[in-house]
Amino acid sequence: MIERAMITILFYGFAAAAILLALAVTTSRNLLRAAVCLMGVLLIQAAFYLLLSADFLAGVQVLVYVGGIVVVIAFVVTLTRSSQLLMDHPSPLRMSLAFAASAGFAVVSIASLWVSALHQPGMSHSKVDSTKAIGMALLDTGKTGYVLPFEVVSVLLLAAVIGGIVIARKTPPPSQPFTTGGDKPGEADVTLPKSQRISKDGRDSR
Amino acid sequence: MMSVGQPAWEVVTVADRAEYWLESHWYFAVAYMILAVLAVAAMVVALGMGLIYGERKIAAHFQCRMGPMRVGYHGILQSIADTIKLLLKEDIVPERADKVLHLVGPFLTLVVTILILGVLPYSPLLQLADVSLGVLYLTALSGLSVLGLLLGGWSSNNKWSLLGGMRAAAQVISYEITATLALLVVTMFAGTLTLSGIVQSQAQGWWVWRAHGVGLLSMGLFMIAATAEINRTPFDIPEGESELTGGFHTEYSGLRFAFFFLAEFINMFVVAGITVTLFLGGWMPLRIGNWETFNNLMGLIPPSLWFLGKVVVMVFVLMWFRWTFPRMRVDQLMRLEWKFLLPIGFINLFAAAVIILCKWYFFPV
Amino acid sequence: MIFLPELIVVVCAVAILLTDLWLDERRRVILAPMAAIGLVVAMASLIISVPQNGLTLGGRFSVDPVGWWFKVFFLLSGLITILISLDLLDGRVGVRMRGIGFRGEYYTVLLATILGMMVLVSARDLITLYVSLELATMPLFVLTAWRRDDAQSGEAGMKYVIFGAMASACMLYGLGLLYGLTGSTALTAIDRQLANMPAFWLATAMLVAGIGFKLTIVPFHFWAADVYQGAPAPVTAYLSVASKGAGLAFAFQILYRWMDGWIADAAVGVAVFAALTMTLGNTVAIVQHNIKRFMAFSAISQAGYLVMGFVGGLPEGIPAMLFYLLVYAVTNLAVFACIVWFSNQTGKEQIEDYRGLARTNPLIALTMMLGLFSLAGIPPLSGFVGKFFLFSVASKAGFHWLVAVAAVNSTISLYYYLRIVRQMYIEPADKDSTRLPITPTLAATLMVLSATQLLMGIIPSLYETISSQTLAWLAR
Repeated sequence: MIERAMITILFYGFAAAAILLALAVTTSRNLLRAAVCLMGVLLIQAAFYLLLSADFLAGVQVLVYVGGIVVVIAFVVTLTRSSQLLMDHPSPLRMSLAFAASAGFAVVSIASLWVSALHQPGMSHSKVDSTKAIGMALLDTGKTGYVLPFEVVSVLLLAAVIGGIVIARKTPPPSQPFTTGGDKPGEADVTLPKSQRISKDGRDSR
Repeated sequence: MMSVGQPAWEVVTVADRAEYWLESHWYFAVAYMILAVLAVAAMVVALGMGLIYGERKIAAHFQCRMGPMRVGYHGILQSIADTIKLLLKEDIVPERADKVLHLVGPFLTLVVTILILGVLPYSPLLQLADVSLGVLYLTALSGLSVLGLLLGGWSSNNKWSLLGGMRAAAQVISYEITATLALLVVTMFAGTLTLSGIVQSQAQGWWVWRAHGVGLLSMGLFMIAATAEINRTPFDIPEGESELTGGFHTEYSGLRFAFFFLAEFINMFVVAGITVTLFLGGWMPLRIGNWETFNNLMGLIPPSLWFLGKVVVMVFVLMWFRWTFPRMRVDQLMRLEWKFLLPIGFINLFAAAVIILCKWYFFPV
Repeated sequence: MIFLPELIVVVCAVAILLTDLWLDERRRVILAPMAAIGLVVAMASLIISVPQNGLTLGGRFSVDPVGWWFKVFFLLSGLITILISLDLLDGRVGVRMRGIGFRGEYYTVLLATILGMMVLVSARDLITLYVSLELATMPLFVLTAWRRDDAQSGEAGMKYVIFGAMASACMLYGLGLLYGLTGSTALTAIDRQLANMPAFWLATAMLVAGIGFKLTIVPFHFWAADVYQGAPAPVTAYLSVASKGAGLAFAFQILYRWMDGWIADAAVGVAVFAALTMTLGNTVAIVQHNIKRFMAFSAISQAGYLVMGFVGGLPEGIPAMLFYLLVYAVTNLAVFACIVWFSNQTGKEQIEDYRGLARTNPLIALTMMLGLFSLAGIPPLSGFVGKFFLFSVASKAGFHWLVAVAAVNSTISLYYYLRIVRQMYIEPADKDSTRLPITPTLAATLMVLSATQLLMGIIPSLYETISSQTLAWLAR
């Protein structure tokens, strides 16, 4: 009884904090502060998972979102010229339209969830090793397994990593002639006539 | 394979005891919690002072100096004097710094370190909480810690600080991968994520040598990656004083600086503790096969002493690194991780999986 | 092994990636043939060894005639895309485009999206459905920004990422709601448990937004023009065909696998979306000057025609849609092959730049004209046949006004397609313009595409096959 009450109190406390922090993320004019508030939101989400006794998910949430994504966001923000880039002031009409749209969406979604009967899964308090169960399910090819989405995600991540590297990689400087690859700037030298080539130690080869 | 008469280790954590009392006498539970918090606070202070003194003395002796000698016998009270000095110093916050984040940075760094201290198994009876996530918890928090450095570096509104913070972030998110891959190897051998479970899985021998070279390799990888993650030489470019004056903590003074400083030194203990727990048997005594006399003799030494001894050795190794290797350049650092450690880590993980499937490790239980 | 084609695509992608690692720049020309051969083998395995009905992986992966034909479409459009992009990537061009490169990565990423689309039509649970849709979408962001020196390409990639993330978030919210309503991720279980309540309609709205983004249905089409214009021409071709097909496949998964009972209620909504989409696409296309932008609006209007197949939820809609999709792939890619060739040789992308093309390169101008007429729906070209089936579905469902709108739109589209034909055939060529060369691969591709496009309009057996197979399955 006390435990249930505690969980309820914790849930509402966390929920309120999450909403406040999420508001702070969107309203903060300072990008890095927004990132820190985002970290708070994500940590609270991990706390929700813990309350639902999904320990593994909570750990992964912190590992991936807080330790990975927020750090990368903060890293990128520090790389940008100024953290005050959000300082543009949209016109009042635009702001009110945006506000109306989001408020309308919030009202519609809350109202429709309120009146709909959501499916309620049975509460299980069994102390199964959830990490082991997740690991088994991810590679199970049977009815309860998730091997297909798991493999699709792995291809997706591979493609995303390749794409990210291609976009981020240096291009040869404009002075060099075209190379189809673009990833080996030195290769372009081959097309130069021999007299113009520069030997490795920097001296002219003549 | 368990021989007769071997003491079976039963792990009772402080959290377990508190939970036990919660049903009948809840104030006992509260008392336990308060005690635990106080103990951690005391430990943070004691560790900080001890490690700083140790580092200074060892550094001095590596360089054929005497180190601090004035305060107390062989300078043994030097750390206390330094602490008082730090506490009394003026806390300077730059005029155009981001005041809030300037405070959050050091705070976050220290909190993360303390959170890890709370789960390390010091002995079967001395562990605050045995979280079911164990290794995952450690890796998750180590990623979080860098945010403190990044925030501190950025909020100082100083180019040196910013560069230091960014170097720290780039370094930590890179080396975290190798560290996690190395930890995964042990997790696979032990078949559990909990730290006490991993310690208990080493009753027949420590994973560093039971796992046919894979363990040794992953311990090496982890040591390198962890040294980089806690920004110690040869990977201390985030604060490299010859390039960045002080790196991310250039604009910090007084208590806030002390937070960074403390976190840095306690992190050394944490890394040593994790290495010991995962690779060197934690609080498990040394055992050699079926040599009963030797094993019984080793069993007489209490587990907490085993842990402490191993950690002291590992901390010494970390300090040894620092005074032996020169600092690396940023590009060398990145090349080392992405082109060498990362592929080796993945190959190692595959090899470990093969070894486990074929049961090639020593003393399979 | 009903997932053999997917397996072949994945193996081919990894093989290209690894081969790329060991080759020097000059030898990388073999990567395109590798990718093409991989897709051909996958197609062969699909046609030879995959039955049109099958279930595996505990019911998470299945093949049925509709999915089977979708896979044929995806593999076909992927293959053609590779064939029209290899000249650009290998540098066999008249005007060199800076910053295009990374051939191995290009084909790997392209094959990854094809894999995502193929899994998408076979998925039978929410998680696989969502994940494979992401796989079909996310690499396209990168492909769009592939010209890294080009500000327009970068901007296009950025816009695509932002809109795509938003659409993806909508979609995820909708799928999450569906899971919350039914407590199951399997499509069949969801179908059984859905009840008519507000949260269900909210979920539907979110899903419609997500699908609308993929399919460029009108209120969600804003990204299309800029992205199509900025992306490298072969990528634009792929976007306009395969990506649209993926959206249609997703819509099919939702409308026919869960919402069987609801689809009749949604008919009016679908009809309105279709009418809006084709009208807006056609009217805005009239004023475009950039050919890629022009094709973007043309593609939007084509999406409007495609969606007509869903009106009324008649089983006849499915074969009509599949047939039109195949026709659209062949026709649109034939037109895009000409566009790619022209921009490869001259680096120009304005419609006015095509003037006098019929004097210098009469054959290519002819194929382009045929493709454009087919898109407009002129009999006896295949586009007309495809449109005819779609229109008849709508009229059978009682939406005569929609058929009228579509007919008017077809007329408008004829006008703006003729604008290009006029430039090619009537406007005089520049004095110094000479015959532009064409590479053998591209010439062969163009010829095959045009011939196929003509044959599809004349020979009825393709439509009959599709229709008999899918209708038999749907009637089950």
